[in-house]
Amino acid sequence: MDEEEPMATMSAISEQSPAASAWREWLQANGPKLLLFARQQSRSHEDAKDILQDSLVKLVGKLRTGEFVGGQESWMPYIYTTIRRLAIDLSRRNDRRKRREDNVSLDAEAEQFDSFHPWFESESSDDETRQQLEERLKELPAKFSEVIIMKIWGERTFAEIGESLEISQNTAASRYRYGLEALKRSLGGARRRGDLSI
Amino acid sequence: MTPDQTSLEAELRELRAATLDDALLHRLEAASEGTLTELSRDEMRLENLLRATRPAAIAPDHMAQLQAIFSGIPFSVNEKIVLFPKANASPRAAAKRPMWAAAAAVALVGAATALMMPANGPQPDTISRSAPPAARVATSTAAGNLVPAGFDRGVNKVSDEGFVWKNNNQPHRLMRLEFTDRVTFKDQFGRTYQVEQPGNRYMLVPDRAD
Repeated sequence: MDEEEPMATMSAISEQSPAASAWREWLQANGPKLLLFARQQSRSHEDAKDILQDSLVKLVGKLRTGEFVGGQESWMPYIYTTIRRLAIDLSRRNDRRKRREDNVSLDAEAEQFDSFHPWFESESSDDETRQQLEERLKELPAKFSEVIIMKIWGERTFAEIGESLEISQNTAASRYRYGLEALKRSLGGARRRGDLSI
Repeated sequence: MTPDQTSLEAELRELRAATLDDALLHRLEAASEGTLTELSRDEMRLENLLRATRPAAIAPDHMAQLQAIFSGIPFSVNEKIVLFPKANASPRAAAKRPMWAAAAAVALVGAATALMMPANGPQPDTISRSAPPAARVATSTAAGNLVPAGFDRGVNKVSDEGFVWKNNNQPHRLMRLEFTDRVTFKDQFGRTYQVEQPGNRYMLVPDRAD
């Protein structure tokens, strides 16, 4: 039995090609950041998943045909830009659909569904903090929260954010400041009321 | 303009644009100085506080779907290192090519080689001889007035030959690369000839042990 263990390990390793392992690691490191951004850009968790998937398919299409310009460092800026564009397209389609169907209950259903899919990990801080943070971020105007999400959790520079959102880096920095200040005030209020421990 | 419009215009002229508040003035100054993108200590502190809350992980089923998107796509670590997908994808693609295509390719190479041979006189070093490409090109040029017009290396197959541990305890994958070099020549009439030579290389690619 003891002799079989190393063989089992080796075969498990050889099942994954180096490229597949590298992609898996890359997805594990960057997927949550991208999904968070997609979530902020879309109306529901399901839409965010679709948008993230479609943006990765677009990246792969470009890599496969050799059309993609730049190395690995260019993948994230490309995906952020694509997520945003796809979210805008989807939002327009949803608006048209909603006008046709005149069904407001769809959003309520989506909200209820999303309460089971929080934006942040509950293990990383206490659940109350996570909930408060998520609520306050959702309350912020989208143009502020998108910059905050890209900067803090996406670890993008203002220049990269500006490029993805098609604004100048100074505008990105200003929106970030306003957003951060608004978030601070909002979280400060929650803290004073005793709703928050940070 | 009517009298009413004129008086309204006069009233409007009386109004003065609001002065800029301190925050906006400060922002404009910082933008002109190029310091708007620099964060204050307080802002960085809040940033770090928020960063401690990590984005939610992707659900396993969704992660599996996303991983499937990248199946068969090489992973470019940097300009020099590219990790290739598992080798078993390549033979399947190669197997789709009919055998007559391979036979035709061999026949074409043979014909091209024959064309480059002078009809009379001593036989020059043949292209099929296993010599360095530069030497072969020089010989062919002298023999048939052929000028090299292009070079291309096509990768036929990448196979994973297994796991290798180097002296520094770093695991590596041994990758075997099979390729075909194609050299194109042109003669004085503009006709092109192509010579192919297969070859292979071994590469060590750093890998993870876990």
